[in-house]
Amino acid sequence: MSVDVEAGETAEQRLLDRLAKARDADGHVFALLTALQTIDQQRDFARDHAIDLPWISALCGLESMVPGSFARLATLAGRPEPEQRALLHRLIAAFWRDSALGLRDHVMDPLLQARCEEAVALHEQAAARQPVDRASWRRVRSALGQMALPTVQGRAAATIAAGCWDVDAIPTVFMDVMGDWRSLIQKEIDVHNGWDAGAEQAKDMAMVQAAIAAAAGTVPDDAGPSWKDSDEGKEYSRRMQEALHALHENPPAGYGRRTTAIFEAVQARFDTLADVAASVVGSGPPHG
Amino acid sequence: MTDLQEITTETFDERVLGSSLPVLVDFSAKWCGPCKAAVPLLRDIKAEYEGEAEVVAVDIDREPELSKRYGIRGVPTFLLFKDGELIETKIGASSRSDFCAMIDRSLESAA
Repeated sequence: MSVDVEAGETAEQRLLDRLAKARDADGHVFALLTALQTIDQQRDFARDHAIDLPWISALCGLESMVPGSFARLATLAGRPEPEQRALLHRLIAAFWRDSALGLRDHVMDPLLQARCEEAVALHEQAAARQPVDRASWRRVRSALGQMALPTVQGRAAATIAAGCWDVDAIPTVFMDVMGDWRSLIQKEIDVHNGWDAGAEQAKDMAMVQAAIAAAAGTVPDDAGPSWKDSDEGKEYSRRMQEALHALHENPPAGYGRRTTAIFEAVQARFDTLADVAASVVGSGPPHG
Repeated sequence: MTDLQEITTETFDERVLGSSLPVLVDFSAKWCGPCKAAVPLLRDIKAEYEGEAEVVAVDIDREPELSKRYGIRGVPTFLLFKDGELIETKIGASSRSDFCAMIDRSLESAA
């Protein structure tokens, strides 16, 4: 990826210019995110914009959830690589340490707390630019992995474990942390509301089927593959689409409640994560 | 799948059941999106556990007999073998941490 460098342009400004070019009418930089899907693409971008490679997947992940994050953290560009690396470890440690992110509040088990503390201490060691060998990362990761049950505490263990890698070996580690954190949030919502994911999905599907049946009837038992192209089939399809649209516009009570709750919780927590990331990196408030 | 060694019906018994190391077998298909998404993860895990565990792949379309033998109903499905025995199964996409935890459990039971 070639970059035009004007005389005197800082790495940060060059990045902001690149983001501005990718921004659509809604302020999203989807075109850029699409161009950074493979590790090779990310590596080229990292080199062109003087950003430490592990930060690229972190920035893409944050941007996909909180538009504007990439620009907000553009101050990373051009900073010495050891400094950028240290900041990434500080951000991963913040999942545990920062009260706003609150991962520590989910963990009551003393053994799990101790193992999380041990793992986070390694990130703090790395953030202080003291080397951490791969065997140490493996040791804490394995210890946490044993406790990564499908419970809220277990998902907290998985989130911390996800970050316990040598980032030179696994530069996409922050994406893994975000993925496991999302699972934790989902689990929290389910536990808080007494929901079972499968049961909620079945309820939603039942409402969809009922709405379709009410509007369009049912598909004949003897309908073959060509039925959908018949006049009757096309009418059924039209009424089904209308029913689905109506369901979306005016959902019955309880429809999609789990999906909505998870979406809102994840969005709120990622907004917080973006603020914490900006605080760690020393960037200012959101742009715009 | 191209980054992992592909195992066939002919080589399965020797390379997987006869291995002295735990072997994670990725049953996948070329048309499967989540299978492709798992490849970079599995590549990283293969590198991390080099010399301690193996990670290999089976293309279910090329090896229907193997798929039938292990009751593979969907892809990706991951089977972990140790000392010739199937010790753990994971169906569907999973995280790096979960794969590592699977392999770590198999290594600890050897200790």
